Amino acid sequence: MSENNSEKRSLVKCFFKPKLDWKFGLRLLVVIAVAFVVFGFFLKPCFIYGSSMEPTYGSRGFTFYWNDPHAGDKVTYGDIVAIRYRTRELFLKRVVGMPGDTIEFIGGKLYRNGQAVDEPYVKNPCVWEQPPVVVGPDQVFCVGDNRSMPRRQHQYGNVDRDRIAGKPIW
Amino acid sequence: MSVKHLKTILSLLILALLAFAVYWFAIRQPSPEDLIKDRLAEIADTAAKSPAENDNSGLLKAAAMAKFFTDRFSVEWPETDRSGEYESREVSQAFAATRKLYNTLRFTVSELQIKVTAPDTASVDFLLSADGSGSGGSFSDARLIHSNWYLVDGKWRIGSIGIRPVMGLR
Repeated sequence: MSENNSEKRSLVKCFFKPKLDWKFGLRLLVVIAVAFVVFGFFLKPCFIYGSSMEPTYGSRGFTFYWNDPHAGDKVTYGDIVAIRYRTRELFLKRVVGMPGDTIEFIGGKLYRNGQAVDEPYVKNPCVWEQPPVVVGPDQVFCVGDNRSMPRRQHQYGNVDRDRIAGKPIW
Repeated sequence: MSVKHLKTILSLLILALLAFAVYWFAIRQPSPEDLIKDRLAEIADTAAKSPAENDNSGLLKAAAMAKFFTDRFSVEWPETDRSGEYESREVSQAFAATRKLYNTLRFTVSELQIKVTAPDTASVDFLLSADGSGSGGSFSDARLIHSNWYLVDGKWRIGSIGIRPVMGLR
């Protein structure tokens, strides 16, 4: 029993105070290389600033998204997507319209092809009025969940599919 | 070595030198893509404004903008009421007026796609990011640009431009 405890202590000590030999250096290099590849190309981190997706995402937060060059072809209604805006800047929005759809807001309610859309994720009151907009052939219509903010301060509308970088993992 | 052999070797050597000279000349010549890329960087540099800039140099820079556009220049900007045909000097005036509103202006070109459609025409798509600050606060924005370029008097110039938001209602 005591031998087992001392082994555990030794392991803990080794973890927090590793022996700085070439093996440790190699392990560190491997970890750095793997992290660079994984977080640089596949699972990209993103900080969230802004309240346009409240309450689904707070005005400040952090998430990862799967970086997929073909993500735009795989999205469907209700998906939350990361949209490439500028270098190192993304929009996080929800897809509510697909190519050919007509999207409008009447009295704060979203209408798709003339039918009211049930949006359980929209919690804040909305009074938006938006004339019908047709979604283009290679586009999707994206909007944030926070519709209580003034419409003019909220970036939403048609987005080219190829600007969709991926979906957040939470 | 016979004279005949020597002649053959010398002929081959001259041919090789000629081929190398042609190759060197060809690779030294910038491609239309390179020239357009440089031209865009020049435009971004001319349009930029630093806090240290005085009124005179600002006016000179605004006037210099005209050389980047063809004499008649068309704009398609559905978001605004600025769509239409302009003369290149009107572009300079518009730039001068815009530059007065800000203390700093910075333009960045990314996602550049150049298609040379004929020896003297090209279509160029890119994402233009603009950052600025002035008495009214700072701004940061981006637009997708589709432009048609023409080779006029040995220089590539913009003949038409289409501006649309990354995410928009049209």
